[in-house]
Amino acid sequence: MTNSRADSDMQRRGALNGVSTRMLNIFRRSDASVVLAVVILFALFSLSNPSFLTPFNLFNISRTAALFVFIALGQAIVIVAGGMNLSLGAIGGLTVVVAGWCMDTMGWSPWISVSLALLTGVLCGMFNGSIIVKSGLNSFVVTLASLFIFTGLIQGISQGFPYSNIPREFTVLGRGDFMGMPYLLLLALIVLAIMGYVFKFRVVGRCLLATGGNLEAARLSGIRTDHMIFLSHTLSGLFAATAGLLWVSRMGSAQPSTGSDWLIISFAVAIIGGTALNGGAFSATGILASALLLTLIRNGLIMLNVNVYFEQTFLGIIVLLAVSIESIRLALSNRALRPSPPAS
Amino acid sequence: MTRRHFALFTLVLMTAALIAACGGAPATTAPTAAPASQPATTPAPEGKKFTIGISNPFISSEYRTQMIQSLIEINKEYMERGITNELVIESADTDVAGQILQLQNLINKGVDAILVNPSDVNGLNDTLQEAINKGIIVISVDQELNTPGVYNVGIDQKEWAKISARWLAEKLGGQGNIVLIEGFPGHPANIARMEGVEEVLKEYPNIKVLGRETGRWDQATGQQVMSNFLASFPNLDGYWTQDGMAIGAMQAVMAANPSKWPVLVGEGRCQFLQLWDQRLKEDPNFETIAVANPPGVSPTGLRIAVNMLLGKQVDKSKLGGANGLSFVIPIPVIVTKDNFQEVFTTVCKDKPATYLLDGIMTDEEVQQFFLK
Amino acid sequence: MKQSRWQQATYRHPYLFALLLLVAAFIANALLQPNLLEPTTLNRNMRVFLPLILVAVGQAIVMIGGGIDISVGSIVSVVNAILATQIGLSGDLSTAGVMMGVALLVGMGAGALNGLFIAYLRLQPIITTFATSFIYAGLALFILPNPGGGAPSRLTAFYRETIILWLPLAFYVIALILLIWAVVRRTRYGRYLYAVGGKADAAYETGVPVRAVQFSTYVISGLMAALGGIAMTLLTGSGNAQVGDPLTLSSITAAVIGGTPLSGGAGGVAGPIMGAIILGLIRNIISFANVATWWQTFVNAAIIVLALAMPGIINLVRRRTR
Repeated sequence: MTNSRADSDMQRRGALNGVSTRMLNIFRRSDASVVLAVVILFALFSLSNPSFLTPFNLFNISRTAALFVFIALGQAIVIVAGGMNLSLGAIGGLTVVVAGWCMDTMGWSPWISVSLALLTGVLCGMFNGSIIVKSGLNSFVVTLASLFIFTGLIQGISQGFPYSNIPREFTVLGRGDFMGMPYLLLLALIVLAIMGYVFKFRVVGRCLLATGGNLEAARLSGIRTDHMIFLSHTLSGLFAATAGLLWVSRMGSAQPSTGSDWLIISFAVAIIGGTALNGGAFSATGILASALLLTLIRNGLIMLNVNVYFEQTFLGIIVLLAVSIESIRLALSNRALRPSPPAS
Repeated sequence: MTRRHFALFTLVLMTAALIAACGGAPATTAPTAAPASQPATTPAPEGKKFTIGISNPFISSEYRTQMIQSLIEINKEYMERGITNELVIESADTDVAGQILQLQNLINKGVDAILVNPSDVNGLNDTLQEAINKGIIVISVDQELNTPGVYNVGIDQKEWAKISARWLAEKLGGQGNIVLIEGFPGHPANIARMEGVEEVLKEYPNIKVLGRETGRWDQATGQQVMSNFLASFPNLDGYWTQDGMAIGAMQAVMAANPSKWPVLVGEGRCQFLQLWDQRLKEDPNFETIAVANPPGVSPTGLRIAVNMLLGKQVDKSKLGGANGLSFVIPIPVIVTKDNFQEVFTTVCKDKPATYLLDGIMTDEEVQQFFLK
Repeated sequence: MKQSRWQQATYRHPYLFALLLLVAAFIANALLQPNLLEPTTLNRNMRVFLPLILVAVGQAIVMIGGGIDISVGSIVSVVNAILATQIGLSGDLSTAGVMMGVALLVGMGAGALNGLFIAYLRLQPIITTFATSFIYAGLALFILPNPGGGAPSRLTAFYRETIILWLPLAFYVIALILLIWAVVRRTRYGRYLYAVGGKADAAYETGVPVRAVQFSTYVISGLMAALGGIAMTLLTGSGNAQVGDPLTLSSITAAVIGGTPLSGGAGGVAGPIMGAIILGLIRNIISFANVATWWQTFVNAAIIVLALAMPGIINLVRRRTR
């Protein structure tokens, strides 16, 4: 009897211990704090502003967040594999211009136009990827160069004119909803779920993560790292193109200026969402939560009547805080796990 | 082997792209190139032909595109008469330093007059002064500069904004909650316009401005800002906005479709009139105002430059502005419910949606600024 | 052994390619613009290029130390905003002198903040300076919400019109930079800098103060950006909180064209200076070659990309034939 009681006592203590470590582990995960921040902000806004919880505002917020998700995915997929894509916004802009040109100038059906626009994005991504892989140059320099090129193409093709003659059926995707839930959000959730699944359970996902985590080690363990880098940039082009198209669909017109402010958004959402900067980590929940977080912050700044120009300053501060915290967290967990910190 | 081929391939590709782009140049300027050969057969009566340079630092806007296109078109007229050469156009997205470089290149190319759409209030002063010292006629179009010796040709931006602001205030009956969506903060034209709006609103103390935000003269940004405003302030009675953003803002209202539409102002662009028409089908009592901001002030400026080059004396009593060097161009079109159908069915009939309602003075009309 | 000689040459003189490109761009420019070599024309061009030259030198030093500084453009804007608001169009020369001193300190302070985060908190340089670039841009906008203010014309005239012995002021500034660099490079600090950029871990083990050196590169870059901001203010004679924005990418491009690899540990200061001049000359060539308006950006981009890619392509070809 005594024995068994002692046993159960032990078990209870063990279980308690387990619960507390599990709690700790949750908080050690970077996406948990983002989710928490979203919940707090959401509660704060709902209490302070009666118009916050209106269906229209929620609809609006979730659509913007969904677009941020796609923009962030375009950056995250490259960061995960150890690179970065400065030309992300320009790819988006080029896609928008191609889609607008097809639908407005040529009068082609949305299906053909969308396919061509997506193809453009993918080709841009493949262009980046193949040059990085073949030349061995840093992705920063290569995408910097392609940023110049794509921007030049945008201006050359559009000549500054927006394409406003976008067929109505194409705007359904960006403006319509399924039982109150915008198609955009639905699409973002599906894609996020797929990405989360791929990174967790598929070989390709693991290979991408390994490439970003430690290129040399990944290569030595037989992963075709070249293919992985190429793939990540191709997918980045695809996501940028998708974001561009959804933007057109939401706005109902194709603006050549689309994408010019995507870079900070893409980095902010991806990094705050727990995409490790030196590659090797990805969190679908984190990206969703941080996209929501940034949308809420933007919404809040407007309600506080803050100049839009300072919005990016806030983003800068948030990103700086996020990376600082991440760095401290890493240092702490390294100290806890191992006596000596590994060479970075 | 493959790497080497790849490298060569990239090289060839890039060179080809370059050549293609350079080769594309004559093709796009073909309409202007064709008449250029004509003066050779009918030589100019007085020998020397004038060269006019254009400096434009911002190209991603319909306004600027229409401006450049109509400049080329109007210049063709003078080229046929053997008065001018082809325009020297320096137009690219660039910063203040870049525009200084543009202007220096124009000076170096020996132009007789410069039409400049300035990107900065004071940043070009010294460079423009150098041009004036060389005897070049300098005209600032669209935006007013206070540089001594520089002529300005443009509409009165402050009055322009007051027209729609006053319409809004009166439509609201002098009271209500409104928001403002402005252009680039700090841009000379935007400053003048917002001053005008503030002056009007001062006369109506019962109109409350709940928020003021920039839409960067960009349709998409205007749409986003308006969506956010609509969400944050459900009791909005009206809003004031301007060029380039009014279409986006109205699209945001259409998407939200509130039970009570805010009173809104528009812009002089065919696409806006399309939205107006669309709305009228749903609500026959819908009313708004669209005041044209004509890109045509630049070709009008070209006409003034040509007349000055031909030696005509400017009638200083007709000029206004801080230095008394501003040619103030009247606003060509104001669209209200009274003339909406007329403008929409005639002017916008065979124009693309992006067309801005415009007005270019004829050579005869420009003579009013000169001594006989 | 032919290849290895080229390799040695490019290794010892990383700016060799930039020099070739500079000569080519210069000849093309002189053909299109015959009076390019006249002192006044040369001065007109050089005074526009100088801000970028100064910023690019700072950028190159950070890159040699293995980092990158994306906030330089915003630092230029902050300095421009401070000078334009504090000196003003009718300001006297003594206030101007004091404010320029303050501007240099502000630039170094901004650089020090970057250095703190990167060297001591060990954050990633690209993201850190990307984030601070928005913070500094916000600061510039806070100081100067609307374009305006400026510098007195006596001061701007000195910057714009000084030509000593047929050579523009900018040449003397460049000569001074090269002279200082030649001295610094031979000091212990110079050796440390290359060691830190090349292999930080190895440098650490041999007793190089890695963090202090990394930190110092950002302070230098901030200082050079502040100098660039002063030059920009004197060039335009006015204030605009967004004036520095385009300088960030241009400075990186200039440094890379000038033979500074992003991986660090190599390169110099002469290359980036040439790179900055090349970028300006390209703009001139496009202007004088009458490229169609809408394709100017693209042609500009294509030439820059060619310039960026050329060293890589040469390397590739060489690697294959070796």
